Amino acid sequence: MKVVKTKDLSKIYQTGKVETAALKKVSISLKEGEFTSLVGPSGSGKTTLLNLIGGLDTPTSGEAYIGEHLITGMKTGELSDLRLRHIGFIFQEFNLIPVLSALENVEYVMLLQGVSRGERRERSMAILKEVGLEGREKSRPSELSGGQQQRVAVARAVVSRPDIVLADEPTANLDTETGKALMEMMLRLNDEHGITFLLSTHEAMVMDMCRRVVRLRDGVVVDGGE
Amino acid sequence: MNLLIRISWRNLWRNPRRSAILISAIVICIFALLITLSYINGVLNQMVRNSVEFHLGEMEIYKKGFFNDRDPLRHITEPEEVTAFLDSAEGVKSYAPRVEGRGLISSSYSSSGVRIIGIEPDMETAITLVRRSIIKGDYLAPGAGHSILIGQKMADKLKVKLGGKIVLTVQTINNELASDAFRVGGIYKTISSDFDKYMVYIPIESARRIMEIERGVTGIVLRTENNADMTELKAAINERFDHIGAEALTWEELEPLISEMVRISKKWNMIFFVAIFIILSIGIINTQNIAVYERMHEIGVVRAMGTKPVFIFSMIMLETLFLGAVGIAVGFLLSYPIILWFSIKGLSLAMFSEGLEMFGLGARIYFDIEFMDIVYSAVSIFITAFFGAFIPAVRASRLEPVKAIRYV
Repeated sequence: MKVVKTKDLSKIYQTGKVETAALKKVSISLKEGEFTSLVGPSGSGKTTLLNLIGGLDTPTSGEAYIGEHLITGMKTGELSDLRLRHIGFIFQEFNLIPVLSALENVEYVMLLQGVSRGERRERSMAILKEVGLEGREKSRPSELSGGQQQRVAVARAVVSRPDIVLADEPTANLDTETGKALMEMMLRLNDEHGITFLLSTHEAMVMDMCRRVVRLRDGVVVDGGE
Repeated sequence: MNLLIRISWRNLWRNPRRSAILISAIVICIFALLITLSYINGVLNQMVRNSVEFHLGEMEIYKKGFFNDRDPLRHITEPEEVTAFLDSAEGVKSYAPRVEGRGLISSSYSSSGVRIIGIEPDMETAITLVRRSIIKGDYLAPGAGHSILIGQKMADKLKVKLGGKIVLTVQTINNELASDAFRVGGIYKTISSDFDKYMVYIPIESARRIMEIERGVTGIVLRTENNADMTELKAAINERFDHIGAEALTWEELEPLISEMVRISKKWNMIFFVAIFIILSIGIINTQNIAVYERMHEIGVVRAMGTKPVFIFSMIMLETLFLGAVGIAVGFLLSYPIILWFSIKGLSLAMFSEGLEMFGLGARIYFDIEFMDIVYSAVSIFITAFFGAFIPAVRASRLEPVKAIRYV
């Protein structure tokens, strides 16, 4: 089953009278359980593509689907709801809500989804244990290392069992060893729970660990799109 | 809801210095508001109370027209009908009849215009504070036909002492001038210099005699219960005694200058407070705008995760309302002991006492605040905080996630 599908997705940014095409007719599709990286040099359109798939930005033309949902043309409220129920996000930095503990950060999305307190607590504790943060549930983000913060972010992204987790350069701010450990953890979650991951990177180590690679250059898919 | 409250409350303390500055502004605002309000209330209440307690009562019943020209010809000839009603009327605490007129008071040294008040000494005690204001001599005794009470200022002006002789000259109801001699039986001093210079008290029989009023009174002064409905009582009296040409006038009608001062003071208070609130709301807008800018990326992240704009809006609003609540609580805790202290001990303004006497005020102002004043002040701060936070909250809720995430 296809979890993500884009068809001729284009995005043109306009700065004054200057138009810049960030994506040009990009068509890719991801199956359930795939672990895919979007790779390419800076300015190749990786983040733009993730933003469009995640419903954070609107395309200039083309279509994007999350499962059966055509997200292009959705209203703001519908997009919020779609992101809440179907997509998990991991960002490069400043990912967590600083005033909430690790446990509360993980519970956040489920709280918005209306999951009961008991289930929320049980699932959050379990996933924090799985990402190796048992005993750090009450720590605030400022009390955690960069690697630990990203683990919390991964736990938060996967805990509500989304259709896909979109990760924008999740290892960019981590040292190689911590980055590798984070990747191994995400791969394990992919193996054990069948969660679909799409992450952007320009690091060779991350690329090598991914099971599928989609290459972008100048806003065009040059390899691995379909 | 729990999550919203938790995040909003904790957000307050992310930048303690900024929150402390804004809370301090609210504390200063509520402090200034409550202290000013209780001081002004104290001044106004004292003016009204002094006016009511020293002479006016809360209401007076006159023959129509008497209030304007003080002509004793306009007197109520059958006061028994009125007093019988007052004995059973709801809200009436006490009453006293008077025979009043204008005239001239003369001593061997000088003379002066004067208002002559003929009183029933015992009944008047339940109405005004004249008896308690005697500083030399005695209050009028029943049947003390030629005894007179004058103010200290009047005594100074006429250069008379206790037991000294003075002559009152008045216009009778027969349009003739009549004079009678009196001995100063007591000298009083109130906190109103005007009052002390102008009012003299004699027994009501003496006033009738000198003004040639065979029977009746020129007016009846009332004190009412605290919760009395003055409008209803006035209407009842006016309706019931219209046939004898009597009318009731409230203290506001009898002393329009004071009631107008009260009204104008309240308007000025309002302008002053609105100015404070505008300044405070500008401070809140500025502070919360900065707070939103600082958290732009974070707002982008939570919006990306599916947080609805209304949650972001509510979060910013709630943060500001929390700030308001803390500021109000601290401001109240700081100001209330001061208000309580000055409401019991009074604020001494002895150095301005002469000026204050002109306004019927004593040298001590007793602060006064009502529960509803505190409630209105707190609600006003909350409304100000609400409007102050509204623009930053709307801005935050309208942030596009993709742009906000890029903001670092």
